[in-house]
Amino acid sequence: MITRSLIRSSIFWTAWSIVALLLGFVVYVLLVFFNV
Amino acid sequence: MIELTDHRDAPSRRWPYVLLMLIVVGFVLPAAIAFSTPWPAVLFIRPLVNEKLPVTPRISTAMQSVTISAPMRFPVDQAPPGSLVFITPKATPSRSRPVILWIHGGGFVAGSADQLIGYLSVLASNGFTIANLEYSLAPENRYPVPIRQAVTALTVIREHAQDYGGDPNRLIIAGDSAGAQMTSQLAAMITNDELARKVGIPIQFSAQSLRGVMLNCGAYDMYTAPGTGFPAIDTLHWAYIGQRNYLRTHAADEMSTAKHATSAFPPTYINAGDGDPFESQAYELEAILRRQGVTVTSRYWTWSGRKLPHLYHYDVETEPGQLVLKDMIDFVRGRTS
Repeated sequence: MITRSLIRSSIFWTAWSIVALLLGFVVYVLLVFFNV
Repeated sequence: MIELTDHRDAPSRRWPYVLLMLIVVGFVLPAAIAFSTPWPAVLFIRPLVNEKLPVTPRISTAMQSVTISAPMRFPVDQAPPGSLVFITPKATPSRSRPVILWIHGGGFVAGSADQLIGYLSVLASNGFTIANLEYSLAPENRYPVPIRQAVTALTVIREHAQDYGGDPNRLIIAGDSAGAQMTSQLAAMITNDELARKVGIPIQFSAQSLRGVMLNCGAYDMYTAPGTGFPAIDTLHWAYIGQRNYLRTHAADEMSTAKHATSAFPPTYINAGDGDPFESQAYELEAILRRQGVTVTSRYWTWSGRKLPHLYHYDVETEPGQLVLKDMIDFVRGRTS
């Protein structure tokens, strides 16, 4: 039970970290390259 | 029983932390980076700009008819060494050839002289000696290092052009994008002592020997250039000048050729594509030069609907690229005959 919970949790946080990094990249590109 | 569940990971309690991460990593961090250093953008831009131009049939033929020298490194006062590569037609000339000093673009942070060897071979094969300048890039080397290197290159050309069949008294300076800005500033400094004094770089090159300048797709007014919407323009100028609020620096004023061109500015060829954000910069400088009585030849594509992008002229296999090439050959011949 503990292992399954840990795996679920790490998938959840990894997925949201990737989303956050992608969002950060898009925001950086908008700020720098499109002078937003 | 020992309770092992981390309550922060309970599904219902995760969302505030997710939201916090999205705000910090997705908005605060990129904004903090974007406002504190130009480096990430520079590292992103370099590989995009540093691609070599494709060797098309026309370029391949031209490269067989020219000699490309080894880079000639030269020391520069208060700056790293610069270097020049001379490209000369193999055919022996009946008289010494006009010399074109070419300054490459790349937003001051990227690009290299080597990228343009093919295109410049096509230009040189029409009977010109081309001195292709390699200068130091920003942010490692800031303004006015490349200008110092370009000014010293003029002295090197004066002393060595004849070794490559060139006549240093019939010089044209040309460039593209950031190189066009540098070209225009160099011409303004040669013909405007007050600007040369402001920049603090003495120029020992006769204005009479500078027969013309060719400006391709450049920015000539640092105060109006940000309004063009050119990608990353503020970051590029920040990297080059060294200050985020670069418009408050003396460098921004000195770089604005539109403010310093006098009636002594050399005859000018200027071009920009209709899809290039810098098209308005070309129009602005042309209007100022014409008001000063300077002879200007220009090539625009406004209302053509072609949407020719920044540096479109480097594709010599297209009609617009061939027209610009012909324009430049005619301009050099007309100014140096």
